[in-house]
Amino acid sequence: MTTNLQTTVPSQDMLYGVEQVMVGTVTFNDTTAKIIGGLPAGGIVLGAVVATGTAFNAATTNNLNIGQTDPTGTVANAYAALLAIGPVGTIATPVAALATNVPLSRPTNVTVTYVPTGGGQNAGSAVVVVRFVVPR
Amino acid sequence: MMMVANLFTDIPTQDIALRSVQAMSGQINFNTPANTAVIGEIPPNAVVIAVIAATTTSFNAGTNNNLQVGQSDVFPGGAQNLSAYVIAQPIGPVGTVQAAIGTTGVPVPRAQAIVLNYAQSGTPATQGLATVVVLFVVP
Repeated sequence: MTTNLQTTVPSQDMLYGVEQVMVGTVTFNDTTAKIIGGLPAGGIVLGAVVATGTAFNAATTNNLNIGQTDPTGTVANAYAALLAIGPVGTIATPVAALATNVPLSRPTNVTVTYVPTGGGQNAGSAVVVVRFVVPR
Repeated sequence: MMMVANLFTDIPTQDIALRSVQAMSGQINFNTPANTAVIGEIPPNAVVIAVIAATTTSFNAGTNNNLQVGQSDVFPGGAQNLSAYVIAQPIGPVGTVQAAIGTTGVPVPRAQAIVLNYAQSGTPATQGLATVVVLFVVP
């Protein structure tokens, strides 16, 4: 057996000077950060769109964090903090005016984390679209 | 040996002709000379749909730390409006913000250079760096 040498998430960049998207899913089970893709060094996150297809049903709040992680650091809510995603439907969040929403000089992984409160969650699924550009 | 003059004196317009949202980007520093940061050129009739500024080193002028984004016609003597798209977007603190597009940010039937400007007031800044992204489409 050959060892798998692909041990990191590759950065996504089509090099065409256009807005790009990264797409992943989040479910009620994803209460720890789930990587949905790799953001190249210098990539700027413009915002996100979240389409909830199955309602999240925690008793009190059903929120989503979008953040980043890499060997240098982790900020689980770097790009969106406690975005309400409970009901079925689609929401768009603009550029997050957060001090943590800054381009990094290194590639990083984009993560999504479901943050419920009140307990009892046993359903919920959404598609998360992260919009970004890579300056050049 | 005869020297040939460089005929490539203009910034080419950017358009990949794929009907997608395109991005133009560049950096603005606290000491970039006023109205000199040309980050690219949009084609005739292009529509600027968003301007995003990501400040990675805070700007520290005493009173205001603002970004202006404007246009300059590429032909000599052409019109210039250095705040056509963004009049005064605060960009002082570290972080990313989306600027409002001004009412003068309308498509025109000629190519335009996109120009960034750091507009400060109060005690002069000694630091500050931001990457500015201009999103546009070409009808």
